Amino acid sequence: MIVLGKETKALAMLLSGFLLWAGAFLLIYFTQATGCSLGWQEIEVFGPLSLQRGALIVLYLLACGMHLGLIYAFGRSDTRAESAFAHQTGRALAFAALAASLFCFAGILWLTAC
Amino acid sequence: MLLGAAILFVLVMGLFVLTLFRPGFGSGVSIKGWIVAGGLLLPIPVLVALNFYALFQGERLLPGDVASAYRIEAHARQWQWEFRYLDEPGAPSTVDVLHIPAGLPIEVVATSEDVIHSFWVPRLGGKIDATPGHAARIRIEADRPGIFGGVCAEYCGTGHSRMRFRVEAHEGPDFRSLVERGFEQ
Amino acid sequence: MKKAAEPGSLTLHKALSEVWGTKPGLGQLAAVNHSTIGKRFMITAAVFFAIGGLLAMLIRTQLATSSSPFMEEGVYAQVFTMHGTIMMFLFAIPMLEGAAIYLLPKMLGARDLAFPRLTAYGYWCYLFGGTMLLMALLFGVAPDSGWFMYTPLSSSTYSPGINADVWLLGVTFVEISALCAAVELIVSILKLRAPGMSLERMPIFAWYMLVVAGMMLVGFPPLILGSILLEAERAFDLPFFDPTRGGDPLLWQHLFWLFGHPEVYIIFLPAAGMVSTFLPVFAGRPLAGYRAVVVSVIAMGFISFGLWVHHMYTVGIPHLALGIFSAASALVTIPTAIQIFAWLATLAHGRPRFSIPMLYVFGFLFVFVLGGLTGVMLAMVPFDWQAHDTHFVVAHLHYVLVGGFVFPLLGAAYYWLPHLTGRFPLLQLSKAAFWLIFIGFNVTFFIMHLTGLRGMPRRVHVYPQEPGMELFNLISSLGSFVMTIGFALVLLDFVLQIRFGRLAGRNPWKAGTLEWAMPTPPAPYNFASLPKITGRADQLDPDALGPQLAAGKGYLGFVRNGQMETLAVDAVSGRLEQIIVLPRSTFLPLLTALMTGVFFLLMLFKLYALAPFALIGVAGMFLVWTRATGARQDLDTLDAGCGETAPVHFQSRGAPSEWAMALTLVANGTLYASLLFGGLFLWVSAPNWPVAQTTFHNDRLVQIITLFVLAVALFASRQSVRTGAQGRIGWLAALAASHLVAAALFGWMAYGIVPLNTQHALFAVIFAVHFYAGFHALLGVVFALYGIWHVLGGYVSPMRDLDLRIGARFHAYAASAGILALVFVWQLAMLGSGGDPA
Repeated sequence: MIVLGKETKALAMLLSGFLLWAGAFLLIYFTQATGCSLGWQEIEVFGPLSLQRGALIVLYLLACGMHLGLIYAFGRSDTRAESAFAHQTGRALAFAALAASLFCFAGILWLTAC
Repeated sequence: MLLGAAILFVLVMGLFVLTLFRPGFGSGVSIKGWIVAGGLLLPIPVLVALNFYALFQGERLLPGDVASAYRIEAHARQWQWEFRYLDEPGAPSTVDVLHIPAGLPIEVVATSEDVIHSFWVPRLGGKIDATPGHAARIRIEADRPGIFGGVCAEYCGTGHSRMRFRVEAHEGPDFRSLVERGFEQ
Repeated sequence: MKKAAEPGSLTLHKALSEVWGTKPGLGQLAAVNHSTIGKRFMITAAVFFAIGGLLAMLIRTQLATSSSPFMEEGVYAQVFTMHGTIMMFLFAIPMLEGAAIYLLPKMLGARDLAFPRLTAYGYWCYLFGGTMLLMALLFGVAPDSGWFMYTPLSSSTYSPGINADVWLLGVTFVEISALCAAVELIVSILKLRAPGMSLERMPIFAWYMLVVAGMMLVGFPPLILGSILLEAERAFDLPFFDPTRGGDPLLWQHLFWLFGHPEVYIIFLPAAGMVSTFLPVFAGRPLAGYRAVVVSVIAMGFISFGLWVHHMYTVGIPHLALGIFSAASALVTIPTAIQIFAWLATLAHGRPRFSIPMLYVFGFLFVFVLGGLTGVMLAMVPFDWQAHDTHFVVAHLHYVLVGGFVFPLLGAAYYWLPHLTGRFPLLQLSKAAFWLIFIGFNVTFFIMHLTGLRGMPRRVHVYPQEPGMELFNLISSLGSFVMTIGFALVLLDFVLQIRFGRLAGRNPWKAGTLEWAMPTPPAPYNFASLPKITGRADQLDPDALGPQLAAGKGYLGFVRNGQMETLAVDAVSGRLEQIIVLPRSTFLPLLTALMTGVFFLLMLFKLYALAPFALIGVAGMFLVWTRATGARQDLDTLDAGCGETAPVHFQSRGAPSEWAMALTLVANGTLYASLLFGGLFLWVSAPNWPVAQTTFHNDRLVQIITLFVLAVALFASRQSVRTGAQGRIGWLAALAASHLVAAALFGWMAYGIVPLNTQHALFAVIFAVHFYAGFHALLGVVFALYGIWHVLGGYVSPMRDLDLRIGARFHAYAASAGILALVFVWQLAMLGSGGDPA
């Protein structure tokens, strides 16, 4: 398999933030479609909160948590010495990706689910 | 929205022309200042406000569970529209003419039996695709009686341009009697 | 090679030209040089632009009056379908590929791209695929279901002729060239740079193209998959998109726009990259905010994949999902704004001078910003419900695409034409041409915002005879003729410049990038010797550097054994890493592309029984490609000049071809993932699921045996590159055998489902997944046998195991894909038959 050499590590730093965003995007969109198809919006799990919205909110929080984790990892990364540029740029992208996730998926909280 | 767009456009073009032809213009602002002000501070509030406003608006236009909505099926085929009056059991369907009561939200269910068409009455509201195998819904409303033109908005083959229809909105009582006459006018 | 025998610029030029030059006459067909191929791409794309423009003129002529008898609706449908198809697939993408192919090696300080023969193969695929589409237009059987090819309109029921097949096969043929270019550009940007050019020293255009190529790599596979599935439905009645049999027309829309939206940014970003390259030259200072631009380009590359559903707001997708896409559509504005303000900051902090390219930057900003603003409006769901599929969208997309691509491209053409021709334009004509295009464009398209808002749908050839409507359309048509005159003037201007322009000399614009550190027009080898980069690659001094390099004072300032050599570096640090020996010019790319064309023609004329033979022919020819490189004994590290040495690429870790295989697998994996998601999408969204009566049974025994065989293959693929000389052959033989058995088993399972294929999309999907896994197992057999042959031929040693490592990556992929296929089929069969797994 592909060994994470120095080069791939630098690429991974640059791409990690938005790869996370893209993964969350796919997962949330897919869960939304699947939930609607299975009628999750009809199932109430916590007061008026439907299973559909509940599942999406969990994913939303999970995604934000992973973004924060990534930013934390950048804070203590020891790869700075190898490529300061990739590290700093990747860190900026990690912050941008967190903002993107917060903004893009905010509709989960209140928009009509199905 | 239009005004906001015009202001932003003039701003960007104005800055471009000034920086290009007035040497030294804007050199007082640091590079970071330019990028943060123009790339972040300028667009972000506009976009956030616009986006959430639009989502609230979109939510209002959605076909909800309101029982008062009057339901119509717009059934498309190459190249005509057949309108079925779901709330009028026994009423015949009409072809290329849709009769609706004025002042009442109408829920249109768009279906198709061949290719993808799209139901659109420009003056009454948004459009909705009639996709075979699906039944998508949209809400339209005519404030007052009148005749409104409708078109097929999705390319559906050679008859696409001519796949037009007419919406006739009637006062409540007129509409009732029309239904009872089986839409014979 | 000793300094004592320093050959002098002219002798060196002669020696290098001898090796790098393309032979005249028929030899031109064997050209693999990136300058030559890049120019061919650009000229061919320009010809297609003219053809697409001509079709646009026909459309505007038809719409000049409300019910013109000029074209009947069938012809009109072919014309607007081909206008869109040509402009998107045959003009924009190949044009940007051509520009990148021509410019990148020169900017990065390399003598060619990483895979010159692949460049040539890509060009021929583009030319032949494009010709297929043009021929269809000439014979009146061009595609006519719109450039977006929405099914069921494009299905065999509603488009029974050959028209839709021409689109599906022709465009897929052309897309091969896009994928080749994507792989090639990524590897070249990452590896083939001048020593010392670390990541943060790359010219900004390389960053843009790196992102664009990455987007092409994962953006095109969904459309290729969609085209294959739709062609399979048309040819073999597999109901992937037929709603009466468990398919769904929306699956096509998702696959199409999953490609189609990133496509817009794939077109825009290279143009923006060119502006980011030449605007600083005219500002007289380096690009401001280099890192901010890099960040925003990468962010844009990703976000542009999250917008595709904004072409589908009206299909009835839940508002929550629309909300996500709407937000992403608004979000993509921010990186655009960052780039625009970085340019403004560059101008503000520089000493700008005005020239023709800057005039086009003005046109670009003017038109593109307007297009961007209407784009934000369209991203808002309620507004879109009104404006979708009207001429408002026609106006918007032309503002974005012409503003975001054609204007900056023309600016770039005026900037770099002196590089291609060594001459300067005759200024006054250029200005007149610009203003004609600019005014003509705005007259044509601005007014379409209004007709659109008044309810004029797209793709109509007649419209109601209302006074305002007719006047607006007439003005629009008149504007388009003004614009055409402008484009004709530009063409004239270019021709005059090439013939009579005054000589430009080296580095006429006083730029700081490497492509100007060579005499113009450039020699086929680019640099007589390669530079050592000590600063950011847009702040160099080509005037001083050029003569030094020409005199052979950089790396590789010599010819060794008549080989074409260039350097590869560590992608991050830019440290010298490998010496790349490139293959010489050859007819193989042309022949292979011809054979590929035979395959597509056989498919087009429905000779399905013969088509697999053409495919075998293509595979066979690619095997012949591999004979050009490699050695039977280990080589010492070679002298690279400047007192440094480096190993030859096939004795290096991380050789370009190893990267290429990894990237190809990324593209391939994207296609596979699209297929699997497509299957799940049908289960979620399509009508008539689950299947009423299931006559399909998972054959557990066969599945378990297959799983075991694939596990063996996976293990053997690891071992084949780990053991010494003795073990290799054994593991490779085990690989060949296990792949062969797996292929047979997948074939058996696929065969078993054939009778059900046409009944329901569930079975068609299962068949497709088995087919994919089986096909890859068969390819695995070929790779393994090739490996054995290579080992026996003495081409492999512990130092020379590159081919085996590349093979191992493929084997691991094929085996993993097979295992995934088994799991997926088992699950989908259970879901699709309503929970009963048996």
